[in-house]
Amino acid sequence: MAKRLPQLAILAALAAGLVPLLALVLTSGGALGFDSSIIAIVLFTLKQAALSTLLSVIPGLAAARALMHLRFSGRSLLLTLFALPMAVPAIVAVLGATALIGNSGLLPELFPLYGLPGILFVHVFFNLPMATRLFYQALTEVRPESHKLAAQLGFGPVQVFAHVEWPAMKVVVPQVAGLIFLLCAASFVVVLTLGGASSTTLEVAIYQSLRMDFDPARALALSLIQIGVSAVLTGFAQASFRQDKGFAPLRTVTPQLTPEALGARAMNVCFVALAAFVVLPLLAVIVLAGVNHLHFTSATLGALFTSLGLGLASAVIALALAWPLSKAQDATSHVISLAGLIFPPAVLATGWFLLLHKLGDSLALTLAFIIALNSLMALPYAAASLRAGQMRLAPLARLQEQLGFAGLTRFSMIELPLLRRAAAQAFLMALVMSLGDLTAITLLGSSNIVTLPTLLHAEMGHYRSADASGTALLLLILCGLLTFAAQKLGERDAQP
Amino acid sequence: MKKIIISLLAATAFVLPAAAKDALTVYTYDSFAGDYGPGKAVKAAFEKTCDCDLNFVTLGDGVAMLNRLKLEGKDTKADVVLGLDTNLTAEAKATGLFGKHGVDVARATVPDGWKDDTFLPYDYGYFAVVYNTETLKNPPKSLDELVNGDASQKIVLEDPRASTPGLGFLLWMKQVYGDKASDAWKKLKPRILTTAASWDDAYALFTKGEAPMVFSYVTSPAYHMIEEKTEKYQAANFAEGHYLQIEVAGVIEGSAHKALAQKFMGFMLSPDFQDLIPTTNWMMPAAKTSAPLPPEFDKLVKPTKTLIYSPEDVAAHRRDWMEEWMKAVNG
Repeated sequence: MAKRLPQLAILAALAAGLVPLLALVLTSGGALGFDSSIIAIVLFTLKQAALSTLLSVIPGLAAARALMHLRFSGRSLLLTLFALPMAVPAIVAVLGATALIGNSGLLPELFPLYGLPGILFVHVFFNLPMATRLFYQALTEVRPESHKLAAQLGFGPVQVFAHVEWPAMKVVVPQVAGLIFLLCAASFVVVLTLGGASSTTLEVAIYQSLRMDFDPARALALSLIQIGVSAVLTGFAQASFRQDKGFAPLRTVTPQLTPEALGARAMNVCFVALAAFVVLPLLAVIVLAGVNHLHFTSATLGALFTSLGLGLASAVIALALAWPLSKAQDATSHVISLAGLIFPPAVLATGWFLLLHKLGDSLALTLAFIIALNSLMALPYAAASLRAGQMRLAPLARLQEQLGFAGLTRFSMIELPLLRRAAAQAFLMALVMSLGDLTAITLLGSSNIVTLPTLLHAEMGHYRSADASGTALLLLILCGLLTFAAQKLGERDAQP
Repeated sequence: MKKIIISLLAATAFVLPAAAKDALTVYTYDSFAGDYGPGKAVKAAFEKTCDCDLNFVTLGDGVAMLNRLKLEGKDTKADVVLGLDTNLTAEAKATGLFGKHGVDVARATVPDGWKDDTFLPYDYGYFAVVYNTETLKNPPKSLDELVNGDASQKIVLEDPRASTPGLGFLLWMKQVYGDKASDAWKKLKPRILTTAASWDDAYALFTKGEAPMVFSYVTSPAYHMIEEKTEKYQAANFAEGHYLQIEVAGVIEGSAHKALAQKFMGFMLSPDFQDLIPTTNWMMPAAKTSAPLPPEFDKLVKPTKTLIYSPEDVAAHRRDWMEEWMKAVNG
């Protein structure tokens, strides 16, 4: 049974994505609506998403490594702050960016906000800190023996990187890059608001074809392209970053790193400063905008608890799905764990609605819908995070067999203690992602479910953007507290 | 964790209506039923007049509602659909799901009167370019002045693919420029700061000070005057006239509560409903209110000419006009 878990998870995720697509095919009579304008859309989507990914992943690798080597007070705070952008609703980040580099901002001449540079800036704000955290987490999983051995061999920073750090980080590179690529390919509010009418991504086109034109055939054609491109790219990334085989000890101690030369340290400071410079000013602007508008009405508190409830439920399910998927090493499971992002949410929601609306429209069913969709969308984050921890587990397979560990015993004796930090991080990422999400709830629509993001949009929709900035801050505070708690929880086992 | 799920589910049990009374299901958009919209007061007032429950099912906007109806077809849970506009009514009629509203159309006091016996208006508003008087001293006096004016004075528009006001502006341009709309868009392009995904996003950019102008409604300044006590934001009066948006509701023909639904339509044009519209939905009432509107509404721009396409024209040409716009702004 336990052995079949990965397959079961794959089947569940596949069904979740493909069944609604099938429903769409049936609605549209099976004809695909291709035309030439799709090519330009695909090219713009690829260009924008690829650039966003490069600008997040490469500095993310450098910053994670630098953070590992630098010891300074506030480092843990910085890592906590790096978890927050994920929870920032897209429009709040856009408005924050205007306060920094917009026409009314502090540095209006820095670079053009309206256009590709602005889109990339906001995308990097969202994704660089996430990449940094995930790479940093992978580095904490490096076994201490490796560092000791490297020190004995007299490795310099370059060799340490090549032989110790890069092998650890490259396990998660495809997952992280795939995640960021898909997030940016599916970016909607940022691309439209900063890019204007001339920036059409696949996601915008899918939304338009389902919404304005109600043209399921075209939506399906576009979705198939998006799914195909995404699956090929993420599969390719996975195949080209194979994990090295090795063995690992059970102990988890924080590695003692060899002190680096001054030049290397100066570079580390630069990398961390660069990442901090992308993230912190924008976060600060969002906090400052909201600080005088924090408000605690019954509506806010209700939204807070609803968000938390939905988020916790989604995170539990996402973690349960991510666990077996991250254990499997093959490209298929990797692609499947990204299902929630590969399948356009508009298609997922529309398809599922078609299939299930006959069951009724009770609130419980809508809640279940939202939780299901959110957990599917949170799955990639959870899987990326768990994967870093799983690499320590894989070499233990033989040991487990010898000891006769299986099922629950193996889970409680080996997996849980070793994966605790990764699991806490995975749970947190899934939770924060669900807290900030607006997609599921907007697409499904319900009168009685008010979350913090929907409240924020309701406020904006009624000229109350000042209140909305307070709500955004509340969301940030909530996520900050949760991140802090998850870090504490994850660190508890870090002692030998 | 289990406890949380259980308590969540338990909480839903309280929200679900008691089965004994007749329940009227009204599809509407988020901001109508949401915390700041008229929804809650409408529900309370209507439930007083009938021994029934009124339940809102909220969707993003009129387009999302229409799509939901198309997906559900005859199985729709809706008894009433509230929040379509006249750009959507032809398509909505074509679904064959709507029946007669059964209300005397003479009660509706929208510009140029009302004749449709399927859809009934509940409010209306003229679109307008709203500007910041502190940063824009010489606002455009016509659409043509906007199109040909100083390119350093920017405007925030909404995307017609994703937003109702965005479509409104596209139709306004088309009505004024006709065959030359494409050229006009090209001339206007340097003045467009950006085309936001929604009215909310566009308006937030505007009030942040990103641009001195935004595409919104004639009634927008009323909000700032009443709620924020400021006359800083004003609507520009355009010589060509202003494009009109009329928001309507309709009754689902196959509804099990059709009589109740028609009763709701009558209630919609009563002062109990109409009194709520100006200061919660920030639109003009579509029928008599019990008292005159707040004095701030007298200060609003009064368009001299109404521009509007028939629902049939919009349904027939929207796709082509949208493509024309796409080509013009991308060229």
